[in-house]
Amino acid sequence: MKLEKELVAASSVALVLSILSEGESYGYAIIQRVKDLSGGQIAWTDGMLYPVLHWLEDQRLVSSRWTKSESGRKRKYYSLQPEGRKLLRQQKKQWTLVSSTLNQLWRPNHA
Amino acid sequence: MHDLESWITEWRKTLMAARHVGRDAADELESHLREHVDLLVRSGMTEAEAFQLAVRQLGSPPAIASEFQKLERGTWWPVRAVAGVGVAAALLLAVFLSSRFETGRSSLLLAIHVFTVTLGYLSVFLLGTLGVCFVGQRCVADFTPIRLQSLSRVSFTFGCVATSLTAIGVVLGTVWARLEWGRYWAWDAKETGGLCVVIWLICFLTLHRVRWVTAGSILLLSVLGNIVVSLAWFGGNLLSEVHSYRAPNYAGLLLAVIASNLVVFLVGLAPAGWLRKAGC
Repeated sequence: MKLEKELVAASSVALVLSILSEGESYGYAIIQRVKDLSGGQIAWTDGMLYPVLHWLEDQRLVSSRWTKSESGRKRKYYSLQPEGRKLLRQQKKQWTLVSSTLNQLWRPNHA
Repeated sequence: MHDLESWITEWRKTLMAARHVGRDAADELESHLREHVDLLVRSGMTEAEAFQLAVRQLGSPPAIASEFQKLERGTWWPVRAVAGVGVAAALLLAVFLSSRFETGRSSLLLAIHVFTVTLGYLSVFLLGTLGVCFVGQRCVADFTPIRLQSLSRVSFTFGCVATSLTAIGVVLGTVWARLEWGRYWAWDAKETGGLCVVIWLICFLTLHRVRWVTAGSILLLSVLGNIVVSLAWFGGNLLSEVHSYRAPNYAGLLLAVIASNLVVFLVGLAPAGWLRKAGC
């Protein structure tokens, strides 16, 4: 089962901010992490993540820096900013509310 | 014979041709593509297969560009104002010069020369005005990266228009001078001024393509264009006998324009938001 495109788009900010709350990361690694965690069921068209990252940067929710990896490849690393942490807290509450509401509705003994 | 590097170069050209994807985003997407190709090659694919699959998973350049376009908010008001002034000036000048041509007070060649050079110079002034607005806004708060990228694109477009018009005007001027004065070029102050503006604009457009020059630096540099055009336009009147056109003495005004633009340029070197931080 693959997640619908609209749901992937709606959850993208929460996913990216959550991954960045673990430490700084870059686009390719973020995509791989989401794929791994979801068993490959949440998959962006890879290029679509970058406008999200640029939007987050534009809103000062994350900051970025270019750096060279050990293999000599240039990578743009993103890290969470205080405003981004605030937004992540709000997103957690909202997604938890959606999740718990749906869980209650979908309990087998629910009327 | 194709290889990975030439495929990536071609892919990047397509990506950059789709508007709204800036250099920074293109670098980032290229880095992603290379990393994915490496991974797929290590898993046993040929370079060609790996490249095709990685490109497909990354998404088509127009689709990526369309997502980046959604990030751009409305056009910054000085850009709309400057574009409006440019269009209005072009219309007024066209009406004025066509009336002179119809009444026999100007030849067609001279009318087109004056039209193109005037609009070319005016475009540089408008670009400089945009630079002044940029410095003014930046004193209060910095621009977001997406807005900066959009402004950089606007300044490049203005620069291209200004270069084309001024270059055409200068060339037509040499043809007209050959017909009227029997020579193409005499290093007259006005002619030299026109050449300096073209050289300035070519340097300006070249800097747009230099990786380490930021969009902010480009916009700041456009302020200096005001000085170059002022010297070419009004400085020529002070020095040139053949182009004096019964012009009033612009020396004082010229000095004021140069000084004020230098001040704006120096203010633009200060850190973003310094005015707000200073509590003004």
